[in-house]
Formats: sequence, structure tokens, C-alpha cells
Amino acid sequence: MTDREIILNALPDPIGGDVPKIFSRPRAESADGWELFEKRFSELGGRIVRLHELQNLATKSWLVDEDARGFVRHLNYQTANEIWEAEVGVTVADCAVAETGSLLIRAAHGRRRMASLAPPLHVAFVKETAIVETLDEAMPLAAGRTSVIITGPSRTADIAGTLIRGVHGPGEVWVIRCDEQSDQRS
Amino acid sequence: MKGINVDVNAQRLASTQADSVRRAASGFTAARRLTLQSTYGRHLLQAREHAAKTKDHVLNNLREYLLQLEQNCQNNGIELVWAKDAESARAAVLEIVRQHASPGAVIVKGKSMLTEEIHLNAALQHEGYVPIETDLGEFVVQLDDDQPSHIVAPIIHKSKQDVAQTFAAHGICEPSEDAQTLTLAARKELRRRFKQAEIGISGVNFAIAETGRLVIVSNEGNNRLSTTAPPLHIAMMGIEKILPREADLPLFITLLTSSATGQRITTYVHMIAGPKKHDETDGPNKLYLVLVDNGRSRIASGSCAPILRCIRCGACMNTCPVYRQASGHSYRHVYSGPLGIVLAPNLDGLETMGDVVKASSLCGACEEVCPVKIPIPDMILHLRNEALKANAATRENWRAFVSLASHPAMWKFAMRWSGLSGVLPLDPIRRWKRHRAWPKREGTAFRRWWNDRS
Amino acid sequence: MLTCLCDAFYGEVGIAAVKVLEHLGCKVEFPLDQTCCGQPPFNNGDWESARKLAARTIELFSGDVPVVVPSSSCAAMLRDGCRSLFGKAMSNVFELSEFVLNVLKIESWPGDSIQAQRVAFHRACHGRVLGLGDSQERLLQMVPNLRLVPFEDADQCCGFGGAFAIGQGFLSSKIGLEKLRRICETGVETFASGDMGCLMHLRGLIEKHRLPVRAVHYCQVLSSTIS
Repeated sequence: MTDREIILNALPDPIGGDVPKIFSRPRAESADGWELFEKRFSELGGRIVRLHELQNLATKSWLVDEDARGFVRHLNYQTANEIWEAEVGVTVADCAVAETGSLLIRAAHGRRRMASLAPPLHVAFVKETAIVETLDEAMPLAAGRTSVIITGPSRTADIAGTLIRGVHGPGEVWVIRCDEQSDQRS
Repeated sequence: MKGINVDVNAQRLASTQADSVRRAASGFTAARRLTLQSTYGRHLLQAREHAAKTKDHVLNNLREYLLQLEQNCQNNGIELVWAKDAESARAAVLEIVRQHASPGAVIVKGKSMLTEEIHLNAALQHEGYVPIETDLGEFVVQLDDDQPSHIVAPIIHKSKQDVAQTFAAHGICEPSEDAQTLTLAARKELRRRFKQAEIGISGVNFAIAETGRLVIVSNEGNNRLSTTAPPLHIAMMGIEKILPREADLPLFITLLTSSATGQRITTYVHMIAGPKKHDETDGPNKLYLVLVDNGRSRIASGSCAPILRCIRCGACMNTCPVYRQASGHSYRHVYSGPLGIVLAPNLDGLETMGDVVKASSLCGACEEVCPVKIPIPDMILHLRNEALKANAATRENWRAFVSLASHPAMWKFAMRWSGLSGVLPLDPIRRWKRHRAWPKREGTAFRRWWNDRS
Repeated sequence: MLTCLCDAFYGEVGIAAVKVLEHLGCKVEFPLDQTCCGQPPFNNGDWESARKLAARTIELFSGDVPVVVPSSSCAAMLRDGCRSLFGKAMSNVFELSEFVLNVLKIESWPGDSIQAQRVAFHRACHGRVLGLGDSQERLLQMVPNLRLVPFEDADQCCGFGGAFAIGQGFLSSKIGLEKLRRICETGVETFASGDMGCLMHLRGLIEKHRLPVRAVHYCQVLSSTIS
């Protein structure tokens, strides 16, 4: 017998029954999704910035996802030759999640998983309308592809409980709210 | 082979280590309470009950869910390997590694208690491969040739000085007690390894049966790097770690991270839907999922089945008064605290691990904090009963006491003249007195008072 | 129900409990043949022995008269532990404060006030099984001039755990000393609790380590207000 057969045979017979309904916790009143997002995101060390603040970084080497290029083309940044040497990673986030201050990024053609992971600074463009309140609402946007929910900078407190940011992932995460593809929120 | 009692091990613990563990565990417990209160408020019990029911539903239908997971993973291009026990799991991983990696290849690892349970690293090293733990705490543990003392925070028993010494001894860093300096030194060293690595090995926090997705939570980013950068990813999972649907994930992630460290959510929730798709730019070319049984199917049919609900948050050990004083190392097993004293004897047998079930005062704090409401004290009691019947644990002799307590005339006589001092065997009294004064009878004996007034 | 510990060592606690109940208007019966509810062997895994003792206790206390006991662990044994032994348990067993608050429905304390006193309270773990919550504290706080003082990690176990105290003596003692450290930090002279198991263990540590605090059963505090 294969291990698979051994294991499946060893398990008790299925009992059946319905899978429990999804639990949705009662939502707190929140006036503005972006307001809550900004609160949570900045508590974790994230920054909401304006596009023009990226100008100072143009001399650094960037990894830019294809669908983010429209936003930054005018900045004349340096493209990183080596992924591991990139200093800035620029991506689009499919949505922002207000209750946790998170960003959801779903893999797609022209996007790099490493862009939001390897460089010390990650900049994420999020459309004004792409804000949801809860993780429950964000989940369907991850359907079918490898995705990541990013909540602030990489962190650890393994060494005697001292909080340190930027352990392996980016130590800084910036969000830029934007309107459509090439427009910018001034 | 019987090992050393938890109590004895605890005595050998350095007091600095013990203090360190107690403070960290206390801190996690307080953080957990605050976050869960703010997230769920008065709906917390409902949330936990819901999570418990969902997990029980999966466990009651585990065969069906495994088949569903298998089908959907395969649809996603994930190759499945089934391993009935630790030996089989090690062999399966070695086979994959041999096929795909060069001799002496560097293998980066995300934190996985399962891989420690099956002793994977030693097997890889034995074959000349270089497994590198990339979680900061596990990295330190590996350098020290130590064991993690907690399933979520592996080095709560170590101080900054300890880590500084370790790093200096291994050339990671000049001696420094600045946590920032130490962490950046580890980052630099591990980045070197991520670049070299031919394979990444990780655990799995949740596998979604409905979509064949593997979910891994982490704060540092090492788990994401280990499962993204190398061309091959091997994910290892206990067969019980299944959730039915994508929509179940928010509840379980929130309960997990809040219960573990008091975080609303970890920095990264990596939701893997397979290897790199043809139109994607990066990600591993190949992804294997190793499903490990190693006793879980047997546990699923027994009185300790609820322990399989466990989502490995560590809340139970954080709140446990015994764990706080003993630290994970005293339990002789990768799983310690309340989780460990139920799981270890179930995985390794009462013969070798039966004595750890004594390391509990049955206070029930663990059950109160468990996000999936595992009735740990009940299972401890069951295990004690089983251990006694199997004679694996040291037999406490209650026969004399029971005999006395079944004969009221004898009992009253004993109470009148000697209290319990006359009816208990000498040995327990002696052992009691080692640590505290034996009680003296206080004031008027009740029966005499009752007698006198009627 | 007196409990075996009070029978053996702490007669004063039993006397205090009876006085409290009588003061509140109850007629108290004491079945003379009671011994032990079976909790010690039960917790230890010796369910055969536990069944013998629990069965005779249930038999002795069967009937309509509510059974009141100044101990959450004994009450928990009969109301919950017995389920594992027999598939069913007694329902008319009450820990003292439960009985006073929920059955007698006392809302204010009909006794003398005491001299102003700061007291800490240690909650026994078996209260969790009974769903006691803060019953014992609420009852104590009804006494005028009595102020309950909070302390760190108050809900942590004292480390008694029955046979745990003997089999894992070092850990038991360490846990207890940690509890006492937190209590002594508040500077109270006295702390109260509702379980003589806890108190036997903590008092033993206090005596051995000569700690500057006194431990009593809360019904002794209540009884002291009855002239």
C-alpha cells in the first residue's frame, strides 16, 4: 500500500454534516475607510505619501512592476539590474484593507513577487476606490493566483522582545493614493 | 526509554532563562487579551466557538477534505507527496532534494514545527546538504545547536547578551548588544543564503481545500523569501491543517495572530496558489506539498482528537503557570506547555512521554485562551487515566486512602486523632515538606464542635 | 459538605461556613458519614478509586436538600468531574458564594462592619469550571469597610493542583511563590481565597519562607462580622 492509501484508510469514516456558515464579526461603525486605514497603517510604521516625494529617490535603483510604470514614468528612475540590489520596489496594490492597515497584492503578468519583498523600501499605489473595510471583503480579490497581504514593514521581536523593522522584507512601506492609471492625486 | 521529568528539568534551568521566558509569556498573554477584546469584544466566545466547530467539521470529514485538497492542489500545479510517518517524510524530502539540488546545496527554511517534529534538518545535514533556518529566532537556535523553547517565539529564553555571544562566536557580527545591529547582521548573512539557496522549505499554517491554496503567516519576510526566491519550494504540512474555504481564512488568521502575539495580523500573509505560472515573472518553478500523518490519523480516532484543532498559536503555553516557570525545554519535546503534554504522548506514546501529563495543575487557563476551544484539561485527565492503566506513569497509591474514605467509622477515628497525617503514606508527606510546611490542625475540629452543640 | 481538608485540618473554616449559612437563615445538616468526594484520585488518573469515593458521596448527599461546600474544587468534582466517571453529575451542589448570591439572593451583607481592611483575593482555578466568575469577590465586597486590592497576574494558578504539588514539587512551589510575591507587592496583611487546597499550599510556603502575609478562607472573614 502506498503511504497515501495507508493514511486515507487509517482515517475514521467521514461523518458528513454541513460546514458551518462563515463567521462575520459585527463591524464597528467607520466613517471613512481611508481614515481607518491611515490610522492602522501608520501605527505600524507605514507612511501615506504624495507622488512628488518619490522624486528624491530617483537616483536609487528601482524595481517597478509593469502596471505601476504609468505612475512613475516621469520620474526618470534607475532600473535595478540585480533584483537583490534594488533599493526601491514599486507596485500597485489591488486593494487596501482598512481594519488592519493592509495591502493585498495578487500575482499577475508583469508583476514581481520580489518587488514588494526584497528592496528596503516598498512603494504601493492604491486606487482611491480600491479600499475595503475588512479582510473578508479583500479575500475574493486574491482568487486564483498567489497573493500576499502585507501589513506594514517587516518586523521581529525575537531578540529579547525588542521590536526591529526591516528584518528580511522592506523596513519601510509607503502608500500613494491615486485616481486612474496615469493620473495622480495631487 | 524514559526521560527526565519536567519538574527535574525545570530545576536545572538557569534563573535568567526562566525569568526571560516568564516575562515574555506574560507579555504575550496581556497583548492577546487587549487585541482580542478590541477586535471581537463580546463576540469573542462566538468567534472561538465558530472556529472550533469549523475545525471539528474538517476533522470529522478529514478524508474527504484531504481528497479535495489534493485535487485542487494538483489543479494548481502543486505536486503532492503523502508521508505516513516521520521516516517516510524525511525520505520523501530527501528524494525531492536529491532529484533537484546539487550536492551540498544550500536549503533555506522558514519556521516549521513539523520539520522539527520529524527531525528533518539532521537528515538533510547527514546527506551533505546545508539547511539554514531563516527565522531570526530559529537561526540563533541553529547556530547554538539548541532547541526552540516556544513554538512561536523560539528564543524567549535568551537575552540580548546570549544572542550577541552566539553571533560573535560564529562570525556573524562583532560583539554588540544593540538589537538593531544584531538583526541587521543576521539580515546580511541570511540574504547571502537566500541568494545561494536552491530549495526553500516551509511549513503551512492553513491549506484551503476549496482552492488548493497554501497559507503561511510571518512577520519577518523570511518565509516569503524562502518560498519565492529559490527555484524549488517544498511545503510541509500536518494532515490536520486544512480549512474548508477561502472565506474561512480571515477568522482563523485573526484568531491565530491575536492569540499568539496580540497582533491584529502578521506583516505577511502569503497565500500560495501554486508555483510560478507561465505568465508570471518570479516564484518557484516547482512546488511540492508533503502531507505528513505521523500519528495524526490515529489521534483523530481517539479521545484526544480535539487536539488536532490546534492552530499553533502558543496562547496556551503563554498563559500556563507551569510553562512560565519551566520553559519549553523542560518538556523534552518540540511541543511543550499544555499543547505538548497532550500532543507529545499521543505522537510518541505514553511509554516515553507519559510522564509529561503530570506537568499540569489542571488550572484550565489554557482552555480559556485557546482560540479553537480545545478542552485541554479534559484530555489531560483522560491521558492520566490511560497512563495509569498502562502503568506507564509512576503509580500513586490511593488504595489506602480510598479504603479509609470508604469506611466512615475509620475515617472519623483518623480525623479525630491524626488528621490526614495519619492516613497518607509517608512519602508524599515528605515530598510535600521539601518545599512547604505541612499544615497543622487549626482551632477546633469541626466534628467535635458539631457534636458538642447538638 | 465539609471537604476532607477541612475535616482533617481546617475545622474553623467549616465552622465559619455553617455560621454564615445559619446567619442567613438556613438550617444546616451535616451527614456524619461524609469523607472525600474523590477528586484527588480522579485528577491523578485513578478513576477506579475515584468512582468508589464519588459514588458514595453522591449517594450520601442525594435528595432535594441543596448541598453547599466551601470549596470550588469539590463542587466542580461533583458537578462536572463526575461526568467523566459516570456520564452524569450532581446538579444541586453549590459553592458557598454561588449559594449565597444566586439561591439565597443576598444583595447586602447582614453583619457588622469591620475595621477598615485591605484584603487581596486569590481566585481558585476550579471556579472556571463552575462559572463562578467573581462571585466570591462580590460577596466579600459586601462587607462594609473591606477593600479588595487588585494585584498582578491575579488570575494565575497558585500551583497547588493536588498531586501536582507533590509530584512536581519544585514547579508547584515556584508558581506559588510567584503568586505570593505578587500579593505581597500590594502590602496587604491578609489575603483570602475559597479553596483550602490553595490555602494549604500557600500557607505552607508562607510559613517556610516566613512571608509577611496571612491567608484565610473568605467565609472566615464573613463569619468574623457575625456577633
